[in-house]
Amino acid sequence: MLAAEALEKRFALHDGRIVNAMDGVGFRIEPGQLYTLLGPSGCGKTTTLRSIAGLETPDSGRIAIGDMAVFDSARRLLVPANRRKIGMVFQSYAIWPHMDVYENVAFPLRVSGERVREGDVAARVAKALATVRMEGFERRPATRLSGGQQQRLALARALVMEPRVLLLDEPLSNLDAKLRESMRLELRRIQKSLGITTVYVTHDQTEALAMSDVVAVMENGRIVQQGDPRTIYSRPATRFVAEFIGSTNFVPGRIARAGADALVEIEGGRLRCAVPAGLDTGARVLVSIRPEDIAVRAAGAAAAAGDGNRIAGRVVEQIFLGSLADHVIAAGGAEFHAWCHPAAAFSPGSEVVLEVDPARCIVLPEKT
Amino acid sequence: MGDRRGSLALAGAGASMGVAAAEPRARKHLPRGYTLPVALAILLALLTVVPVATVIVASFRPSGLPLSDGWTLAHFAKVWSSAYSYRLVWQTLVFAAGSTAFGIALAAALAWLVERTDMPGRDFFRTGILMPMATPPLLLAIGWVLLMSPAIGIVPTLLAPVFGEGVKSFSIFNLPGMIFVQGLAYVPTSFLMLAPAMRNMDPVYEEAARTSGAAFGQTLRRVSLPFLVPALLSVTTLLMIVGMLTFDVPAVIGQRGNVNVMSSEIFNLMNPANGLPAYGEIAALNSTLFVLLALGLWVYYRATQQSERFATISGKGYKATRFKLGRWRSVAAAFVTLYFLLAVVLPFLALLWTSLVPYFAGFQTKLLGELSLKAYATLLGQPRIWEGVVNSTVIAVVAALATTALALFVAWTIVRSKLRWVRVLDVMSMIPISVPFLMMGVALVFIFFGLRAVPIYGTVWIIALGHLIVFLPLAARMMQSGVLQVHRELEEAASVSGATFLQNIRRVVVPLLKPTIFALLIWLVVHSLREFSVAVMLIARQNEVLSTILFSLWDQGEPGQAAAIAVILMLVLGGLVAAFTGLTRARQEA
Ligand SMILES: Nc1ncnc2c1ncn2[C@@H]1O[C@H](COP(=O)(O)OP(=O)(O)OP(=O)(O)O)[C@@H](O)[C@H]1O
Ligand SMILES: [Mg+2]
Repeated sequence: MLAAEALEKRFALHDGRIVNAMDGVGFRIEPGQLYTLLGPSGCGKTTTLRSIAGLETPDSGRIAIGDMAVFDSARRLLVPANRRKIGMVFQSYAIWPHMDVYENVAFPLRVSGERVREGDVAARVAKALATVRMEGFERRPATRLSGGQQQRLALARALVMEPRVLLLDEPLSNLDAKLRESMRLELRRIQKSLGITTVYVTHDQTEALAMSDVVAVMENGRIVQQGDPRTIYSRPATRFVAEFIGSTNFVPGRIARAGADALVEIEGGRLRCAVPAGLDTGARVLVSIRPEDIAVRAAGAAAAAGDGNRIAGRVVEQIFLGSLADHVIAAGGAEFHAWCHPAAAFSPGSEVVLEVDPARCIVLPEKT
Repeated sequence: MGDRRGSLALAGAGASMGVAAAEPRARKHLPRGYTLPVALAILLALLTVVPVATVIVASFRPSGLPLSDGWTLAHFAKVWSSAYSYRLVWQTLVFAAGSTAFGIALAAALAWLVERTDMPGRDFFRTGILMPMATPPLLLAIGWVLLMSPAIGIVPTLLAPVFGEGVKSFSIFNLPGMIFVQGLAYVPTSFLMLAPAMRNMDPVYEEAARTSGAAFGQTLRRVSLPFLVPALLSVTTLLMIVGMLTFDVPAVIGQRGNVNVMSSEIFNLMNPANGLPAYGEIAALNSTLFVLLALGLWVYYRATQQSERFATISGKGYKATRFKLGRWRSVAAAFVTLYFLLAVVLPFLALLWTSLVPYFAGFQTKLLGELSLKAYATLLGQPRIWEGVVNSTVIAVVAALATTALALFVAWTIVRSKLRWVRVLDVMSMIPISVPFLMMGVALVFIFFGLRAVPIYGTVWIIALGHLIVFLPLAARMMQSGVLQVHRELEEAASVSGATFLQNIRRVVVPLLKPTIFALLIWLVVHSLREFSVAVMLIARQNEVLSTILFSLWDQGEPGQAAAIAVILMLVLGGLVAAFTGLTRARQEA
């Protein structure tokens, strides 16, 4: 278990401005979970991760790893990085160029307080290298490894002490697209088989959705929403989250009837939506509709389901993207992107009807 | 959306932290990372601030000793009421300014030819340019005295048969002579500082100026020179400072012609013919000099900060075009060759010749048959020499190791510490640059003469300590650029892996900095072996070093033996410099 509470960190820039890198960050990660910090560049992900590792000292707050408090500003408690017993993979991998693969992995054993016997060192290094499928590379100089191998080596080094917590800072960002995909699966496989509590930092939403048990979306030093990938994707809490994860359409409107089965008035019609609590009749809202949740039908075609939302519109443009066709459709006072199978594409100028399941219409406050 | 501070931490996190009983070996103090910076600040204050303060305090004491009672301005009054002092300052300034101007002009010309033209053999010259480091100012000065002594010098005796006896009255025992030799000694340092500026000067600017119709001279003045100004300014300040406090050339050349500068006057006052040294006056002279030098250092600091800014402006992606010398190519090569002749080859040959002849009488063909290794044999038969060899070696090795270690910790702290005030360490480590080597010697005498608790006065350790202090500024600078090249995450990975601070230094930082450390060690050994001004203030009977023995043999009229030491020293230094060049090359290519 890993928990943090009310973490604050301010940096003073050279021109005197202050950056809030962490502005009240808090979370609780259950044992064995893979917890992802997701957010745009500069939102404070690395600062949060480095605070857990002990490489950065927050201005205030508390951090506990398992039952050990490692940082508590109120009690002036700070456990230094080298005693936190964590594994960490750096964005640059930080492979020591003056050692070979074996020595890189053996390093944590050699510097640990308990003297590990050379035979045990060899056994544990072999085990760690086997975990990342790097057997046979022991005597290779660390400078002669490909990007993917460096990545595996960094992971082996982080795992060799069998730490309680694994921290990963954009571990895949230096790899090419193909390798990134296979390493993503492999990382997840290793993490699951070891059952190790993991904090994963990335700005790549696909990565976050594919790997995580829990995703936390960060913005300007705050965690704005956390939940399992499906919830984050299908029930974004703010405009920022909806926009940052996946693609979406925003339709401006006003709530005509609040409640579980809400009605939102938009230009030229009404949308039935699942509305979160706390928004009253008359409030200005944005309705978020994912492009893949829109069914495009020819105008005049029979409705698929009886109670779906139907908006009339006209195709402005159609873009062929290989596996799908992206339609830009003018409807309801907005421009919609709608994704269809390429075989069912409409040509520009066609009059169409957009059908959307009310459960897929997310109502968000206009201002957040 | 209300107060979100930590509200996402699920309930229970706080509670579980509250009950956390096990906090193995946790520090109860938040402000970690203070220990090393504070320790270093104290150490640097002892090493650099205290000596300077000692001399300044001493100058206000009636007895001239820092720990005695009472205060007075009498020493300053005495020094500054004598017209001689003003002449001394004037001569010091002329000497420093003249040699600086000569040295920089020579180095700038060499750097331009090597870096920016198609001069033949430029790579060879670039490698060889460090060789004069093996010819320290003391040996260079002695070599030139042997070459140019009126009547019996090698050059006058060679030229007299051709040009008549008139050439024998030409003398270098005057300010121009001192300026010439000191200027030659300045070239390697100036070259090392100017060459990168020349290399990084984007020729685009020159080309732009020239295509817009500016003549070559105009281009140089309006476009090229302004780019070089920061580098020129910083090397000028540095050399002016060195010129005001150097003692080698004034001792060997100036003293013969009775041309004194402040450093030689301080030396004379410290070694009176009879009675105790006039400590108060010495301290007053030193304090005055220190004020001048502190001003110089301040200018230097400003200039180097500027030059760093300039360096970032000029990009890297351009292809340097070289200036076509055309028919001047051979003239340029001859000019560079002449420099090596004057700075290395001729002085070395003069010393070699002198060490082989039975008595010194310039160059005479009849002596050719009498060449022998007798001077070497006599020399090596004296226990004093062997003591000197041992002392010099011990001092060089200890000072080099200690300085490197201290520089490593200082540089690491300056680069890595998150504390804002660590810049103070940077400033303190630079203080010795503005302290005359002689003055540092005087200060250490003041401190340790009466200090029974640390009985290092009169031993090799006080000289090693002196070297540690005076070489610290350069060592700290070199280390800083080394540490800056080590990616921060390499060290953080060690911390996270469980390495303590010292394990990180020993297993990660030091191995990664190996090339820098070796280059620095060799540089320090070279400069400690050749160093004269600090040692000459600190020697007693048992701690003589080779350079001071050499000087005293020379002073007592044993040029043959002095030259023999000089030749051996130059060969050793030459070997070390070659190793240094190889290492720095390797580091640049790595
Ligand atoms: N040492 C520092 N000094 C000053 N500002 C800093 C420092 N470290 C981080 N910051 C600032 O704090 C903010 C958060 O930085 P952080 O590195 O945590 O972002 P990030 O989310 O990891 O971004 P990225 O995806 O680009 O890595 C940024 O605005 C950054 O400029
Ligand atoms: Mg980051």
